[in-house]
Amino acid sequence: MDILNFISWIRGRRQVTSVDPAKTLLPVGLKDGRRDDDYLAGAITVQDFANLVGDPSVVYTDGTLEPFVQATMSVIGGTITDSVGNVYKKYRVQGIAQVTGSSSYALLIGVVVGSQDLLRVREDSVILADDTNVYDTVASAMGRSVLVRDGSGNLISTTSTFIADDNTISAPEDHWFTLVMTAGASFKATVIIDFTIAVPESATVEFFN
Amino acid sequence: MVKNNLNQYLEKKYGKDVSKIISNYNSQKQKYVEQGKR
Repeated sequence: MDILNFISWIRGRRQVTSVDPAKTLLPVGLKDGRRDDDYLAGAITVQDFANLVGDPSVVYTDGTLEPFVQATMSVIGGTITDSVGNVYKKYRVQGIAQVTGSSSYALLIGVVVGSQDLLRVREDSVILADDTNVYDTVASAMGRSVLVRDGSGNLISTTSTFIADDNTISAPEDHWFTLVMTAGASFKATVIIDFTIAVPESATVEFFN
Repeated sequence: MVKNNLNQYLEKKYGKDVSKIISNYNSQKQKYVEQGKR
């Protein structure tokens, strides 16, 4: 395809406003260092392209070590460049944890592997105090005390709520993300996990749960 | 990019040391909880 053909297609009324996203292809240049011009012609479906640049659809999977936590990680659009020029790609970790019947929880969300260097750039997790007599839900940011439901259905305040990033457990490039919640009595809550990390763009990153 | 089975990953990368890693993780979890209670 060259640019003159492309223009003639538009004149031929082949410019469209909607397509079947799973069956329609966009041309892309794939980086290929073995070629003199560094790029190989390729194609991507509109659906896959939209997932890269938009808000991707996600499917949670049960945790291997923590079956009460479902989570996944997806690459999201945009990069972060620090003041010395390092470029980071962004990855969004999403999931859900049901906690009930204890006064403390430390639940593995997942392990992100591939880079010692890792930034936490956004925290959108929410705590829902299920089925309380007073509220249906109580939402809050992480790192604060939040209200949850105790065994009698009353609201009590947690003493801590945070998501730890520990890369001392297996290797510096293995980040073990763990949801921690404690309170003075047994409680029940639903935790909507949603946070974003950034990792150097050269790193190959994988997520296990 | 997303792999489901953490145990398989750990076994492949660390072999017989997996139980040591899990034990290390459980002990770290206990520390998080203790810190959270303070």
